[in-house]
Amino acid sequence: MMSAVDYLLDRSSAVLLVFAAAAALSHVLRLSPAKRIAIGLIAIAAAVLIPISTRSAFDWIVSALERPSAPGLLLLALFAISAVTGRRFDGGSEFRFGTAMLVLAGVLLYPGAVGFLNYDPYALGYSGYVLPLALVLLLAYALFRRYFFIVAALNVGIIGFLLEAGRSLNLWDYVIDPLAWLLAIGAWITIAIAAVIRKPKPASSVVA
Amino acid sequence: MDRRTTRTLTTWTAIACSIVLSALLLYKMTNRVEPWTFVVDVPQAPVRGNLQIHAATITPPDEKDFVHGPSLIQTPAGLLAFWYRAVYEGAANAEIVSARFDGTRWSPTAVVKDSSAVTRDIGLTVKSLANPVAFRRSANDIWLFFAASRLSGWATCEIILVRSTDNGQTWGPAQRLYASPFLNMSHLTKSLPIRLSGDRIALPAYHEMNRKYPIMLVLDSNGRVVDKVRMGNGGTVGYQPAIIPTSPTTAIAFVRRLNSFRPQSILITRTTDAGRTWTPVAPIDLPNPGGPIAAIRYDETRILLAFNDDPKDESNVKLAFSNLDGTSFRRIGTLVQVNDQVKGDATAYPFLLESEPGQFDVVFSRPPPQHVIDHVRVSSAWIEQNLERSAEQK
Repeated sequence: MMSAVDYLLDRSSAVLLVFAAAAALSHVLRLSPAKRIAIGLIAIAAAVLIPISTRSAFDWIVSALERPSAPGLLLLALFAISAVTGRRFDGGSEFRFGTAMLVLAGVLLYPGAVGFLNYDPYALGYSGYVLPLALVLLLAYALFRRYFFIVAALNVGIIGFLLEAGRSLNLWDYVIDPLAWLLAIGAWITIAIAAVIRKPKPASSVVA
Repeated sequence: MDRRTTRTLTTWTAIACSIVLSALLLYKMTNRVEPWTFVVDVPQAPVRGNLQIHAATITPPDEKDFVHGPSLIQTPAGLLAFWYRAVYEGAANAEIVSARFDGTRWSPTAVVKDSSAVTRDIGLTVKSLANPVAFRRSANDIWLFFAASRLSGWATCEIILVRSTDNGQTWGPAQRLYASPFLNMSHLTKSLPIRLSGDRIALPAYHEMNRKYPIMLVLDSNGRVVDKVRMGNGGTVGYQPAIIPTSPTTAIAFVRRLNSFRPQSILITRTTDAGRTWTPVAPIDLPNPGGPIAAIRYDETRILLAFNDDPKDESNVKLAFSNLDGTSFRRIGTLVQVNDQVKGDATAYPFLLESEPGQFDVVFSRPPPQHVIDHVRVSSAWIEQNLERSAEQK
């Protein structure tokens, strides 16, 4: 039977996503952080109580999202904190590097894994040295740049894989998940839009 | 401790942890999946039994639901059949059901698992269930694999495993087979699992989302996926493979064609490295209406197939022999033909089992308007006699 840890992990993505989305929306109304937390919690309760067909909206979201990877859980937590406090993380180099690596990993993994390509890179997560070596290089760079949140997230993912703590025995599932990939893409779209908006206009030439 | 000391300590702790974990990770990943080979079971297939076909309907006469995807396993108490039942194909609240055959009659149906039970067991909401296929793990243990859709449509399926330790009298909780990084979608079962060395199992399955293609999942002794092989060498290649090992390192797999594939023939793919790589699929000299093929090893030199011998419709179920290379085929005889008086009748999804030496059982479904799962039993004597007849007619 499913353990309590499995039960909670399976629902952690849905809880954090619903909470962050509701808190972020309430940010538009310029509510205080305490009220944003309250609205995030109310949104979770509403999702649990509102039925869609034979199950609750929350159950649908849980079924659609799956459990997060360690970096995915960290990213969701950052989004939730950002939604409550209004603090933006997308200016930090560690956030940008981490989300860029998630985007890159997802681009390498998902198209092949869902059949768009003739090769399935998911098989690299069962055995061999390619994927672990790539992770070691990523860890080394993160240590070099003192990106300790990334180091911690990757190490937690590796520990989970070594202990076979999840249902999957594939290394990929401990370092990336589809929601984290989509959120990372969203983060980079936001960064790109902000960069375009803030781009300084060139000084107008003086016509003699 | 001042801030600088804390920072230095954090850095060195992170470096030490990362070095140790990286070393352990590399060690584990490079020594993880030890090479496997096929376990080849060559049955005796003595020529015996009566010359009549025994035919029966398994489902009750008042069955109104959609019933499909039957399979069989032999138990000490007789034959055990499984299939799925729902209001319509893919409908919510589906059931995996079973019935027992004592040699003369089929028992009333019993529910093995329904969507609610699977939802409760795995903690994620499951919509529908399909394609149960049983595997004998040991004298009393049966593992039952089936597909479960989480959202809507078969493309959202994952594979579920339930176990029985009393030959199918009771069933344990459902367990997910985790085999895909994309929300564990989209894999389904259809054909018999086969044994691998090291107490492992190869589960023939197929991918449904975006492009259909056959895959072979390698399971450890606990039923967890430890490797996954895409069969057919990429591309759009058909699905629902039936894998027959022909030696510890060689096997052939019969593959259901896609509806768009031409010619309208059964497809075949081969391996010479125990399933790590498979050749591109190629059509063989037997037609296929886009339905699954059931195949088992018959004897030293032959494979027995149950298939729809028609390029367009599931209008019959026939038996045929293939050689071990999949290069030569001989039709044996017709087990069942559709009833022309019933509009829309079809004989779909044949499943073949040698339940005892020289005794072969085939189950198949007759989709709506019939709502029926049928069973046919033939002997090796019937097979050999029909083979002679077909040779004479030729």
